[in-house]
Amino acid sequence: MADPASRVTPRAGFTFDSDRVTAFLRTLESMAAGQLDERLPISPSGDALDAIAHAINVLVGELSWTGARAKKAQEEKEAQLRAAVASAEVRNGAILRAIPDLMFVMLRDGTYVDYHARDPKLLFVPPSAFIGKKVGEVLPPALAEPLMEALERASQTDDPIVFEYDLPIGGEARTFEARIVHAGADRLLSIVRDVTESRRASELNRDLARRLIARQEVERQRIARELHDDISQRIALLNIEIDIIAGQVLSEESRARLHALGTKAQELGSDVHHMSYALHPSWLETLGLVAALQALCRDASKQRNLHVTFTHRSIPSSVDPHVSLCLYRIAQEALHNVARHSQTREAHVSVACNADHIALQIADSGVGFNPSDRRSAGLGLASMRERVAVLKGQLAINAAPGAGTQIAVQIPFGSEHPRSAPSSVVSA
Amino acid sequence: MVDTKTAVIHLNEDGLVIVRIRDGAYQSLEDAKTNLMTAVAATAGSRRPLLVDIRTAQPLDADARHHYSGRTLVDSFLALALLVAGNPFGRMMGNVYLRIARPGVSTRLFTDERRALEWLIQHRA
Repeated sequence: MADPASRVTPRAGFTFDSDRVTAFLRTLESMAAGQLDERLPISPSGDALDAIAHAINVLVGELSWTGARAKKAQEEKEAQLRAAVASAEVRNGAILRAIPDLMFVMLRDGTYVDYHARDPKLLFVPPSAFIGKKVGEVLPPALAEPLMEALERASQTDDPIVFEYDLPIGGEARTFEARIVHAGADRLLSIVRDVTESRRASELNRDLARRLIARQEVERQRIARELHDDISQRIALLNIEIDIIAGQVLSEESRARLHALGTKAQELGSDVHHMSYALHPSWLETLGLVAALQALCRDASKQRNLHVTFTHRSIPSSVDPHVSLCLYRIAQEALHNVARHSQTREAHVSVACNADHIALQIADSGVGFNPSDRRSAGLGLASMRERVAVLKGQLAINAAPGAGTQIAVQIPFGSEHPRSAPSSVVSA
Repeated sequence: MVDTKTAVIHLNEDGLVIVRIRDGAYQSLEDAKTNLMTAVAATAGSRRPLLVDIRTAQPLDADARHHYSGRTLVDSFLALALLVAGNPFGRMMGNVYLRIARPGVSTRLFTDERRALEWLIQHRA
């Protein structure tokens, strides 16, 4: 029992043993110094000092508990982040290993900062010769300049910039397609694919198509010539024979029958002539593209019960025969489609020359179709595309169900620029 | 009546669940889990009033205190009467529980067991 003299009285009515108060204060100092696991002593008496001690213990315990929970939550979040990063690294690593493309991370000023090359043999120079260096220091000037322009364009848009170029790799010229995208801050990501083989295959396909079309035209020309020079002449002779015989027979009935036979022979001759012309439009060579298209529109109007208007602007008197034939065949096929599928009788054909290309359009206001529907893409459209591709031109089909069809073709001029000629509008 | 390491738990004839913390018992988080689980089992599947006698118990640590005031208490009990010692420490212990734990059911402190039982009976379903 403590000496009454050593008792302290913090407030009237409360007296505490000085040893308890000393122990209380010592523990409190320790807790204040950061020892949050310590607790103030509580006596069996359950008096006011014990109540204060309990209140402080609880507050410190809550602080410690809250801190521990926050720490645990933070640790769990960090662990989740680490797992996510690790997972992303594994996934990205797998993607990088799987794709055959070269990848370059570059700064906007053209400095190479990182790369990935599954096949290092596709690199123009070893990594040590380009990392940290600028495009102009690594690539030939003729390539560096347009590449820098592509980087600048990519840095100003969210869309990928596609840039195609040739580089000698291992003594062989190879073609690459770079897709450059903005990758945050001043960084750009360039994914580079070696497209040499696909370009070669594409060129081979185009060459094969060109040869097939040329061969087809030669064959059509031969058949047209046979029809014109042989069959047509023989039908004409047959007609003359019929006329001669008709003049010699005495019976009215026989003469009438021979005249009817002669009329049929004339019709046959006319049909053969049209067939010959359709197979090889001789007007293309003799009178030129405008006259041939004009005749085509007129014939289509007459034979297929259409109303085809035709306009032309600045078409030179002499157009490259390959270009003329291509445009003629496309117009021919398109008008054939109008008659067969459009459910309209109205169509318009126009041809015009601009500074660097010749353009043809065939439009109708019929039922249209869905160009992305493969069932709609017949041989005719495929043939149009091939013919245009052979001449390095562009073909666009603007069509939608219920909204008509417009076929637009542009063929760039070659080195020889055709002369301009006046315009006119013709209703065929 | 079920005896755990730190408490004696039973359902009385008035349909109240009674939890008496043993004299001088210190309850860890595991003890709190065991006691609460046993108290829930004593409800026999009905929400009932709960009396917890902490008159002679040691103060709770934060973990155990938060466990006692969690979702399980609200889901299984209608009201909570805390029976505390009539001295300043007992009242402080009860008040601290109410202030910090903030149980989601009606809760009152009592120093008299008879009055606590009367109050709980009013909260039967």
